[in-house]
Amino acid sequence: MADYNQDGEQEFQFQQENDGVNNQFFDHGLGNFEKTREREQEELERQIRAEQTQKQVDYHKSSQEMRDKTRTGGNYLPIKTNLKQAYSPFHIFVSGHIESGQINDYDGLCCKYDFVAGTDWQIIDGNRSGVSQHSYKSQQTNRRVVWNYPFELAFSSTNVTGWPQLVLTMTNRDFFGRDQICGYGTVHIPTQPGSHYRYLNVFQPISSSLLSQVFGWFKGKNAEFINPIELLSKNEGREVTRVISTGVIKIQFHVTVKNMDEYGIFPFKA
Amino acid sequence: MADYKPEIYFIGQIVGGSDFPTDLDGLFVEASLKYGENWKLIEKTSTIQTHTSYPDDEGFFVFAHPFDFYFICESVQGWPKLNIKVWRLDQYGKLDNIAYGIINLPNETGSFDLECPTWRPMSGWREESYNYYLGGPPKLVNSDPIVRDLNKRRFLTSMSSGSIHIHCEVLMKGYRDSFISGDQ
Repeated sequence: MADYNQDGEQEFQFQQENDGVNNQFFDHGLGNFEKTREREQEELERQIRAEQTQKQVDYHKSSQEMRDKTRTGGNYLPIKTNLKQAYSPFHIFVSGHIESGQINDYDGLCCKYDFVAGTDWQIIDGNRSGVSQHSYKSQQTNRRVVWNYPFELAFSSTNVTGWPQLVLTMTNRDFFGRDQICGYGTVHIPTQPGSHYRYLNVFQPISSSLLSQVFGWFKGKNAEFINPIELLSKNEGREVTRVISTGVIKIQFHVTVKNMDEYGIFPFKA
Repeated sequence: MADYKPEIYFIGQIVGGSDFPTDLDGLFVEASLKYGENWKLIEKTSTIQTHTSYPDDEGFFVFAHPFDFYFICESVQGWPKLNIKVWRLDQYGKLDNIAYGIINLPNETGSFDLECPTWRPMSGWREESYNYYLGGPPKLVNSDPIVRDLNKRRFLTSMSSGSIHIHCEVLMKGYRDSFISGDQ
């Protein structure tokens, strides 16, 4: 019994040892197997993730490519390509005419236009300034004065700030043939392409004192700005002047815009 | 999506004012921009002041004051507004703030003729009679009830005044690429 018991114990012990060894062996094997499986799973997951990221990247790329193909704007500017210049300027073609005006008590009116733009703007073609004929009211159209004075310009720029303005200076000719200032006015060129009418309100500076007004009346000269173009195109330094409104002028603009969508701006409503 | 910020240009003119209760006195407008923290105004001062204008026979005051505002916007919140104060210069050289108004700049590309109706605060018979005989309506101490603390408006009584006409043209850059409306 004891032997048997001993044997059994021994066998048991042996079995235990064996089991232990086997367990150790099998544990080892099982662990390796499990680790390889985990590795395979990780690789699979990695592959799946890589595919997904690749898909995302492809999607983004394709959407960006699509956007580039459909249109270019903002920072999608094509840089260093042979087809287009880097930071290519946009162009604005303005034509139109100063149609007519109505200024209260004045007759024999002449208008001088000046186009003023910012530092980044260049005039490619056309006259920056021009002086129209002297025009008198007729018997039939007793109110308005017609000039029908055309202008045509082409601008190019790389920056929107300093959008060009039209500055008008009106003079009239009195009984003695003297010219005197009777109005100033400004208007921006329309930013929307197409044809536009603009009604431009005209004003006239008032003398700073009554004495100079009386002298001016004798001399046949109203008060006038020394540098009207500089003063009217900017919005600084005008606080000190006093003006009175005198009339309205009608101007017709035709605006064409080129390359502005490449710059990132879509002034037209699609 | 886009790695640059949308930019916006407000180009236009304070054209004039009409229906103001003065016939002999000159008016000028002080307009200041109010905008959110995420908006950045480039290069220019945010307050403009026009010349003093005297009316014609129809009571129209010409200002013809051009502006050219250039913003970079990081968020659409706090879209810029023009806070308008109308001042009166009477024949004795006295300056009075006679009207207030605020107007949103347009949030769409295009050209717009805006009209900003204005008002002035009104108080009791003492101030009104002072205004009638001596000139000079009651004034606001600060511009908070116009712009910021809208809950304080209910403590005010007001009288309506004339309106300021503004012509504004808007150009938007990069609004489509940022998927913000307005540039459609």
